[in-house]
Amino acid sequence: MKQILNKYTSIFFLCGYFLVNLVFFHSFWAEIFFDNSKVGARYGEVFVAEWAMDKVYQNIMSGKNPFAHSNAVLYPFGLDFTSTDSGNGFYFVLLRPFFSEHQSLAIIVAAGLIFSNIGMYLLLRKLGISQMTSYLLGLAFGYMTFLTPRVGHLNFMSTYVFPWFFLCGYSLFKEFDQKTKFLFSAGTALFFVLSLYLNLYYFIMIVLSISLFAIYGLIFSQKSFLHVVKDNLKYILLSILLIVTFLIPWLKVLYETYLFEGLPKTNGWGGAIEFSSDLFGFFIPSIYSYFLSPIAGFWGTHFKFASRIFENFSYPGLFIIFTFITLFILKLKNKLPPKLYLLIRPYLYISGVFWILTLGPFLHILGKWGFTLDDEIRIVIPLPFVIFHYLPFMANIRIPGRLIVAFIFFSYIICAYLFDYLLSGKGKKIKTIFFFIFIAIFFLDHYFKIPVPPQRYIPYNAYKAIANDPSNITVMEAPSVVRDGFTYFGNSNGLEFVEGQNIHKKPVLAGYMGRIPYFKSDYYKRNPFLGYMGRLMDDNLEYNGGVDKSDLSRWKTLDYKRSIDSINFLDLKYFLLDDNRTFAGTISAGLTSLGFNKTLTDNHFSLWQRNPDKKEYLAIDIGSLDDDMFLGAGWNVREEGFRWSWKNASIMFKVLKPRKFNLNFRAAAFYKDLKTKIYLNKKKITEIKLTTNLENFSIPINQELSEGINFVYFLFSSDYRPSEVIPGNFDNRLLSAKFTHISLEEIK
Amino acid sequence: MKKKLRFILPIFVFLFINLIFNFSLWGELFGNRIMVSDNIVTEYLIETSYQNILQFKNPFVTKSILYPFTTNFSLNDPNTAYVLPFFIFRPLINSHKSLLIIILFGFFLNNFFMYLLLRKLKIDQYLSILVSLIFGFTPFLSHRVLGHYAYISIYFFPLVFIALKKLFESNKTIERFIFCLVLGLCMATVLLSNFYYFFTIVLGLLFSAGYWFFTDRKEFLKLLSRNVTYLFLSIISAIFFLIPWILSVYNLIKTQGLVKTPGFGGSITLSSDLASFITPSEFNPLYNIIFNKITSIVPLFVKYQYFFLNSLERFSYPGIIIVLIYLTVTILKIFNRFPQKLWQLIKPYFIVSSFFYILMLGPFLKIFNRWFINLDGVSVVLPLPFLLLHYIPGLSTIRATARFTPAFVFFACIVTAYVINFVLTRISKKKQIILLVCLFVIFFFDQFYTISQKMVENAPVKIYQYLKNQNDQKTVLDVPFTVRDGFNYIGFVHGILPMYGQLIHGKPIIGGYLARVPEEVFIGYKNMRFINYIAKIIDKGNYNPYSEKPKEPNIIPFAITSSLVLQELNSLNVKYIILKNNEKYTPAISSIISKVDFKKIMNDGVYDLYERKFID
Repeated sequence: MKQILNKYTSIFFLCGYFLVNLVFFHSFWAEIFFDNSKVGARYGEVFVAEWAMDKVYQNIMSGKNPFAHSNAVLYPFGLDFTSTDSGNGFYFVLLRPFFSEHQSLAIIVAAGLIFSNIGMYLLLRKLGISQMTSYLLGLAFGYMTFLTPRVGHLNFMSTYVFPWFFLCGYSLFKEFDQKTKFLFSAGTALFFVLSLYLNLYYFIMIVLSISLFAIYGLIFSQKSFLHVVKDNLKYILLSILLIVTFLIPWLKVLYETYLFEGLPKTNGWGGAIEFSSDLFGFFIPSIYSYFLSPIAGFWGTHFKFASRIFENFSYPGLFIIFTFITLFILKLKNKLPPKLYLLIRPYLYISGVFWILTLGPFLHILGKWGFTLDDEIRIVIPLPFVIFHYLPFMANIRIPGRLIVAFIFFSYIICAYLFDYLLSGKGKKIKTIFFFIFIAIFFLDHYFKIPVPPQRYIPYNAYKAIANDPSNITVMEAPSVVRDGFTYFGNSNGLEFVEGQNIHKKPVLAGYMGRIPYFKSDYYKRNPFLGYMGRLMDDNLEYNGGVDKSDLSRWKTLDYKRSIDSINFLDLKYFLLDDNRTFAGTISAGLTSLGFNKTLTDNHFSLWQRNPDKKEYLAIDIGSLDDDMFLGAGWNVREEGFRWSWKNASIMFKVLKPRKFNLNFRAAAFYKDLKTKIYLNKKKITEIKLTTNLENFSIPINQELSEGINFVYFLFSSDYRPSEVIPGNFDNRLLSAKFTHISLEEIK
Repeated sequence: MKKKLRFILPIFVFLFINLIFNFSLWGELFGNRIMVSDNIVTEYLIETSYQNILQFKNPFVTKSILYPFTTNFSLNDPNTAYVLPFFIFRPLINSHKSLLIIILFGFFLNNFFMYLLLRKLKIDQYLSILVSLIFGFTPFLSHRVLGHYAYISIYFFPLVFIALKKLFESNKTIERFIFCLVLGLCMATVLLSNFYYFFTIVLGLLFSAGYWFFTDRKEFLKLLSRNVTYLFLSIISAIFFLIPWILSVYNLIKTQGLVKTPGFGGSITLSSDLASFITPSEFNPLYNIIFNKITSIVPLFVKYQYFFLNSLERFSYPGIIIVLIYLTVTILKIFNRFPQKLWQLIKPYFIVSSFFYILMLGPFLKIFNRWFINLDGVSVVLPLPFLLLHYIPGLSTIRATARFTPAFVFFACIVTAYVINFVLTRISKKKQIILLVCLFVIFFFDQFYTISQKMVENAPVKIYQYLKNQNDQKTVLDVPFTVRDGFNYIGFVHGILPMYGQLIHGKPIIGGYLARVPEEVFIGYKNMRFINYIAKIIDKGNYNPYSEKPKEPNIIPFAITSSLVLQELNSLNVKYIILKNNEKYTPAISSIISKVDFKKIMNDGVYDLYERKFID
């Protein structure tokens, strides 16, 4: 019997993990048999994530760059998939032929957790931890308490990248066989890149962990650290080379985005203060916890901050709390064995750094992050996250609470060492009791409820009618939204358009992603038609901080002339309206006056239709009241007959028939002469020199403009702040050039 | 003979340096030009107290300034302690010269008592002279000698130390009894001279006691039990000496209530900067030249020069010798290279001085006038222990924390003396002389100051004398005037000369300047339409006379009828108006007062005297 057990240990272990997975995520596995997405029973965040993953999959299947730009949402700008955490789209290649995108993601998530259990188990075994401890902590890590409230954020379920990356990295240094080392080099690179594609936060955590290990090595064991690096240099270089190779498609799209749109910038703290963990957050379990929710409820009832915990949720679970308390007591009583301390020291230091980072830029204690003294002077306690925030690109890490995942990962390694220490020399009976107590606590502490989203009517008939239209047109829905992690415009919860887009495949005039460049949402706010609709759909307009309230009266009525132009310019043909909404009547009236006709009713949805006029838009009077719908990125406010551009600026023209044109414009550089590169649809046309005198330019475009909307980009060599170059000037804007008129002239 | 010389030498050195450093003050003793600064306030308060005592009146109450309001200045740094020597000098010379003699003698006492203390601590005689000079002419006083005379008397620190030391060390009951009375008298005098110094000494004693309690509890309790009766007697004697003052304060609180300082009351501005510790005095001619030279070569230095030139309220430079000694001690201590025996000697003084240094820095750490960092819209400050002091009931009035500097310097001088003494005992006689001479030269150039002549004026003494000879008690409106305290002002911010005039002519005046002026006085003056109009047109902004230029006064049109002006002047009993005749506002005021029958009757330099017939 013992022999059989030993022979099939792996299978038993795997079965155990699978069984626990079934207990925790049975509703995910059930999706295989009943696809809830068909009845609209999935959360908005989930189907947006699935939509993006599906786009990555479709790009792969059509032989494109997986992260390539798509016009499907946020028309006419579209978006790319470099920062959408859509890496699971790669697995869709295996699953999508058989399952829907919803089912595919459910399988990936549930199986990913088993993969996480196995990864942690193998890593702990590699670190010399006993089989039982490794197995149990592999289980605890896979279902870490952090995941409890994350059923809407499924990209956070891919925690397996941590153990697998470190397992490969550690093995790379520890193994002696060249072939094995080579294999682990590839594994290290693969999981490193995968972490970037799956979850940007996890990638940052891994990068930070590597840096912290290096700093630790250089400080505490410089000699052996440098020795190990030297001995394995070629494998490290190989890993780096593979990482760069795997990253090429991603870097290519990122560079293009950087060049023509600029990378998204977070202003100020971007919510990092509100999303920081509280000092007491360490002890507050999730309200979704099956057994511990009464404790969470108690905290929430007595402390206001605890009732709103979500992004700042940082409860690491009882095993970790027990471990740290035990270590503290041992240290206090001077009974912490030096050997154990030496083993856990690097993990203690790294987990400590991550825990402090989760506390964010300023210490929060019971929901308060400062107290006010006389003269309204506020005392706050700055934390190391402040330094982190000011490192290049790190300002985008605006939710410090999420860094708890890295803390939990390293803490479980400490747990493993401590449990092994406590169990060493103990008899089988004690170990068996420990096993069952562990399992009991695990379920008590980690088991959580997976809420079932309500079913929703999906207007398939309307979507199918749109899908059947072969022409290149666009679709708008009400409600819909242009929304990112910071701001929104339109109806904040109106995300159904994503689902519709997946069915009809036409570009939609809406969008939802983690980061949307400012100019895109600003275009929707300024556009005469989209601006009117967005404001009308917003049930909470007066509290919407992203909308300027000073000119609300201007948007109370529809500007028919300019709206017709906008509709024609954007090729808007279909408007799907939810008739149950309060704004439905006003929108119906507006659509009727614009020439739309109701062509289909699908339950409480109406499909309105109008064929866009065949009209070309070839001239823009910059600074006139009609320029809004032609301006893309990089424009300052309208001035008397002109506008100042930023360093990168874009404009749009609409052409009905592909042909060649001259680009004519009148412009001048600000402050100093500027080198200016001009691109058409991201392809370079020419490079000119702009002087500070207003001049007319006529540039032949050596390529044909395509049918539909074409983008012309002006990329300037510099920009200046008037306040910095003109004495006594307080204008702090960044300016490059002034434009008064831009047009296309057909080459005959 | 040698013993006599040992006694005469320090006195001679102290007087000689006093003469050199305070040359212009000595000059004022023999001329008519006077400095018109905060010194006039001190002079006014002492003279008023002196005259009140002579007439058996409450020494702290007057109606002669800020007329028609009655002012109780018992909580206004009254400098009452200086009234006692006034009884010696005033019968012979005027109040201004009497005060000058007291101040110059104060410098001497600073040196002398420190010298006695250092000798008691067994410091080398020549070194004691040098360190006494460092203490007595600490750069902090280079600012205060311009008018804040109450801050000159830093001799109270060594005096209290000596009295305590004697009390604790003596075994004779009578001797101990005498010293406990001296201590009580000392504390009472300090309180009547300078509230800050009183608080400083109390804080110093409490902190030292606390430190001693925690480091050597047994010895501390033994000493306390041995001296508790005498200490109690000291407190009783201090209270006894203070009875008149306590009664006056009681009356003041009863009638006006306690003036509460709102918020931090400017303690952020009035606290020392971290850079102040190494920034010397703008009144040192050598440093002034160096700063000007460097600024002309390195334009970036301009900001630091501005910091250097506008450091009055945050000034805390203790002198280069103390700075270097403290840096050396700190560095050697960090690297564990400081002699242990010497550390045991200086440790308590070093720690107490550090305590005062931290207090000097105020509620929040300031570096080059920046006391917060803006982190993307969140202001981050570094709170300091003074905050705790600020929230102790009654102590919120302590707001100018840089004024703890003398306490730091006092303890730092003891540390310095021990350290240099330690070095002297380890080098040859010849090297000792070279070292002491070098240190003396450094002291001289580093701590020398000149008293700016920018605020020195020719007062219209002839006019004041004329008014003195008039046998009435009618009010004098002396323009420019101010109504000013530590927070607010109306009128010409430096219009303090009328208070000097009042000391001569003895008649009530419009306006006045005290550390705290009740809010109702400001409101009352603002409600007087004519007086408020003058206050507005003579206002040249609140500027630093030593480093800034005044603003041009704004002459707004006058829209009140002559009958209303007359009514207001009658209600204020104004019979005399002194008007500066070379100012932009002169024609406007002259034209108004001519319409209400004021006639120019006298001229004295740039001042004219107007008078009218006044029928009661």
